[in-house]
Amino acid sequence: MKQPRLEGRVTPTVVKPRPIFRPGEMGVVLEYTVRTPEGKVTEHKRMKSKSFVRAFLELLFVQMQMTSYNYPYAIRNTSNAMSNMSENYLAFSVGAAEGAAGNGVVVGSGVGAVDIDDYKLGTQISHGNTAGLLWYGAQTYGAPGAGALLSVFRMTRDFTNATAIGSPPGGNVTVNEVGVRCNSFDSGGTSRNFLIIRDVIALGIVVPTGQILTINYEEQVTL
Amino acid sequence: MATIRSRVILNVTNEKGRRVRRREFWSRSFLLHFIELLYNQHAQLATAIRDIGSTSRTLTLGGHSYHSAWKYTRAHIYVGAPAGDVTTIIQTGNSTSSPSLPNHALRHSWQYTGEHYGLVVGTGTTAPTTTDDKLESQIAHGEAAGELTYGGCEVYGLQFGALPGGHAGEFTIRRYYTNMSGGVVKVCEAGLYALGCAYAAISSQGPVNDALWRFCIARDLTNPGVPADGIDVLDTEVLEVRYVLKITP
Repeated sequence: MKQPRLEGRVTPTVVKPRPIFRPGEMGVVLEYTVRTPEGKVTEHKRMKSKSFVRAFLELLFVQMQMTSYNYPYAIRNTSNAMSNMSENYLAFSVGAAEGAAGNGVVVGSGVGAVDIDDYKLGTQISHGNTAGLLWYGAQTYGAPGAGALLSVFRMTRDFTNATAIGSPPGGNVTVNEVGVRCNSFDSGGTSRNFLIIRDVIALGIVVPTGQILTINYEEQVTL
Repeated sequence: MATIRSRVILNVTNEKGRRVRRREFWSRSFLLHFIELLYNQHAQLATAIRDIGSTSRTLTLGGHSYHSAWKYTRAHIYVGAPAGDVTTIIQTGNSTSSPSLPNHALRHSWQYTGEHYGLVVGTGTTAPTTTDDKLESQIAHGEAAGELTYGGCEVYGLQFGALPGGHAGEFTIRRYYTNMSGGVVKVCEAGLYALGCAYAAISSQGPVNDALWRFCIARDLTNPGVPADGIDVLDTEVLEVRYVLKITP
């Protein structure tokens, strides 16, 4: 099978006229679509995300306080270790190239309920083109936009159930959880990863061989 | 459903420290510029954002950080601030494109006095819109008629656990304002001005001639039901304003 070729790109975010969150609320909308290689949609759903976990609020605090690197704040990273964090330009970065599964929107097979203290997906699905793996596309974005009641931007990533040339089809891959990992420098200048969003999908998303799963996360604030 | 909301709390105390007025409500107005600053950090892409003067500033990232030998910062979404008239100096980069770094003599800095960013209050009564660039009419720092003296803007109290109201985590942005004007000052709006950094150029060794700009990320009326009926701060009284950012599981 031909490997998907995805370029990092930015497109405008379509601002829905009707917010789904309460006034003053900041939340995330999760939208997923499964397509055949020909573009036929086989599954699509848009929902309120269970969304933010602890590290999002912690990193926002560090940035708003401009926490000094001399007096850092410890945040649990995706390796289950505490990282001393201070204000830095890289905070919240979700950028990820094709194949880079350590950052950006990520998917997994874990089914454990979302907890505010989650620091990683239950079981992240690795990047690859053999059985049980998904091919991670490049992270892309929808530029910020605003309507009368809503301000929003979008993060998008494609995951393809790809099969290496000459290999037998790997079978379906079921995605039960979705999340967002960001990276940020710790106070010593080492890049660390943090989980800032996690959702569990009831019944999972089945991605048949050759099909493409597109995940959209929209961060929104409502007036 | 984990979402983030902000509780706005206003307390007025008199000279004896007794609370004489109080108002508390949910903030309704995180604005487009908050989303733009988050986008800028998530995507690490140049982002044009209107500052409080309604001038478009292109925020950029990259370069080095404060922990590095170069010791400069982007200060994005920074709302912690010193008191009014007290200057904070933030090193944002270098003043030449070919410095021998690190070289403190070439360091480029940017400064504001405290009342120019962080939590701010005003007298405006028009309803917030998603694209507001600033408070309608910010109350100046000082002791003249219609002014308030600004205390420092604190960002503190990050905590998690089973918090009141079913919340799972929160932190607070707080500022005190003292009325030394000799008359009544009516506060009808409050909001948050966050800093963000735009630099003029990028050299091989980092950003050059960076500038910090102010962006309005939240604006609320202190009495949304009757906007003109703000909260009065009498002479010698102290107004405390808190934005408590809460995450709900």
